Amino acid sequence: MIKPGKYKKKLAYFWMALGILALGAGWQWIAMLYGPLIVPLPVETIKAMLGLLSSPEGLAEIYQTFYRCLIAMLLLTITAVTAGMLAGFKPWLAQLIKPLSDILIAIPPVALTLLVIFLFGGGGVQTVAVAVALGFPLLYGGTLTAVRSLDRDLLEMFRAYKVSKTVQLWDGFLPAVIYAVIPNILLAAGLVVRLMVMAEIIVGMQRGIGPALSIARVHMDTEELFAWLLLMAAAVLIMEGVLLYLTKKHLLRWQAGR
Amino acid sequence: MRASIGSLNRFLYLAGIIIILIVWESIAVRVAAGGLPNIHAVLSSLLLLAGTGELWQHLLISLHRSLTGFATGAALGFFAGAAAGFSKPLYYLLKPLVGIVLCFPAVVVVMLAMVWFGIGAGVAIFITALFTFPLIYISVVESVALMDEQLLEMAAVYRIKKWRLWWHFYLPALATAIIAGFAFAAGTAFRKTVMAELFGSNDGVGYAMAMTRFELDTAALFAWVTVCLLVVAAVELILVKPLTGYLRRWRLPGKTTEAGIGE
Amino acid sequence: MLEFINVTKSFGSRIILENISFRLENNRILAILGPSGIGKTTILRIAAGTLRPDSGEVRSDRQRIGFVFQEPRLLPWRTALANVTLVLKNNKALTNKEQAEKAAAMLKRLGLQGFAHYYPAQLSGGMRQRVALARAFVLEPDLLLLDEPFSGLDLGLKSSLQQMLLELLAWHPTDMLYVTHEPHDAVLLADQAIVLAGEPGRITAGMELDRPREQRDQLYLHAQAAKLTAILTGS
Repeated sequence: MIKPGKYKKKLAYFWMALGILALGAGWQWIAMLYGPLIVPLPVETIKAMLGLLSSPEGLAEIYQTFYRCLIAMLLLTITAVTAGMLAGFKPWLAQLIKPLSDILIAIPPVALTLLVIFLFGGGGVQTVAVAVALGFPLLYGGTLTAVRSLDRDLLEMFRAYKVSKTVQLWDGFLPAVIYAVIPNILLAAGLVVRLMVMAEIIVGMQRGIGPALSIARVHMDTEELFAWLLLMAAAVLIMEGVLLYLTKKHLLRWQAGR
Repeated sequence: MRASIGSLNRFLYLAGIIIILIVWESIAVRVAAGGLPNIHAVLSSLLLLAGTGELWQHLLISLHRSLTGFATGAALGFFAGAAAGFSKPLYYLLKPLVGIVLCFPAVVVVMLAMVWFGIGAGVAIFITALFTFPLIYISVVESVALMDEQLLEMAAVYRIKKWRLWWHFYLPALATAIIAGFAFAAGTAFRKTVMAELFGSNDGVGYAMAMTRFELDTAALFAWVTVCLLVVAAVELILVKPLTGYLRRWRLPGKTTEAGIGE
Repeated sequence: MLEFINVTKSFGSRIILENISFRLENNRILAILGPSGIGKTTILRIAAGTLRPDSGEVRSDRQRIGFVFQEPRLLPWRTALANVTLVLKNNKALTNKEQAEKAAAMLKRLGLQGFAHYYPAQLSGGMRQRVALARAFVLEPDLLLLDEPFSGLDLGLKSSLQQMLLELLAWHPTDMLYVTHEPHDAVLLADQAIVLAGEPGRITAGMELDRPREQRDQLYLHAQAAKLTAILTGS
């Protein structure tokens, strides 16, 4: 039965650490049970991971994918956040955009990738386009919610004190939206990374993490696949978990009272 | 006032769809053959697929895999989630596992699954199950955590027997959040199945989509995409909306599990 | 001078206020009392200019209006100092430095000199309301609007804040509309009190408090409060 109230932090960390150990142990056991060809040993996988990070080929692939993700995030942030802000103020715009957003969410990512390939051919630009399109609903929706939940009370205070529109924008609107949107941007980043890799494979790029995965599969190289898996999971984890935590800590400075 | 806002919204939504369709048509007319098909071409392709039976053949396979994977993942997620909801140590024990599964890029796991299971149904079912599990798990855990403590206290005071507690209180509360979690997970499940099939199967909707590439049959691809959208929409309309509507009846203002019961 | 002449306000088909008339000038304080939801805050909003009356006239030559709400309504992402300088930004005559100095001086008046760079979340509820007071007074307003600013605070805090308000008013006298549902609060500060009642809300009674604020002793306050309570409860 859940006991109401907080669970001691130290205990929580203890159990989580135990959980991680259990994962490692379970992994080791399965690896020994099924043989290294099916499931590589944890130690070997970590070695392979480090190998990827230190070898020039590995780094080259990582860089390619990273570069595409960066461009995608830039474009995505600009379009989705602007659209979200505008739609937040003009409900009719939000309703117009809604079907587009719904479709982009409902469509299987692979289908959209194929679509883009059919229409525009295959290439780096197309992978970026796919990532932007698929990341759009998330970031747009998040921004929209942030704008909609702007504090009406503060707005009234601004009007009572006849605060100028410029000041309202810089001191009121922008900080509120930006602080609410940053977590969404981080989530979108995690999503973009995962989508990018998939798009790279389908599009058939030559360089990048996606192609490396494809090749590894053909060679039945589970060790390399596991290495990439952990590497990417760690990257997404870092992005989503740690940065989110840091942001919250910064936000917490002024959000505690609410 | 209310009625007109509702219909205005619907109108604008349709307007949005119409704009998309218009943009589609106008691009289709200009782009060279092999590019964007116009709506007519897509519809006829769709009918053709339906006529030859190809549509149903692949769709049924995909749905079957989707369901199997979803059921497996959901069952695991449900029981694990219920257990973790009631036991803090277990919750923290499982946290790393669920956390890391959520971070997996789906493609990488697909590649692994292809090495393990070869080309076929196994990949699709495995992927669907694996990615359904954390969603259901989280949904269940959160709903257990949100169970109204005031009601719990009332039950303790009135010494309500354990099984009654389960029947009248725990299960309904769980049901609410689970339905909500299911809604979201069901949509993703089908999409994951299709993705897995694209890479690692010889049949199913995903495979059919991949095949359109080789014949450059854009109209067919669009047709399959429409099928996917329709499936997701159907799940929403036939399963989700009625269920959430039914559950909404006893939603008290203020105190509810927030696990995403649709607005 | 602020004057309401037969002001009526409706929301949708409901008439909230009807025939509200009063006149405020010469740095007098008018307390507005009445049950919750009757429309007291609406009067303040009309006085502030954020709402327009449906009929009747509002005459006002007031330029600098300070508004203290029930909640502090501070920007959570700005420091206390920045929250106070916020309302000075319209004043082109003051440089940023001068604005900051004025704000700091104001905070000092309210006993918050060490807290200028704290964020609202780091301040207690009473301190936040003090920042809101500082924000209102830093304008050196010619009209002050207060909407039950001390409700929800415990008695000790409330009384110390009321004292601060009195000191601020001594330093910078101004016209003031003070909405409250506590007769004790009204008789402490006001020169005149009006009572709203009925549906739609109308002014049903009034009371003058002739004695200057500084001379109001406990006996006087209790007597007047009792009188006002009697009016409110209609006995």
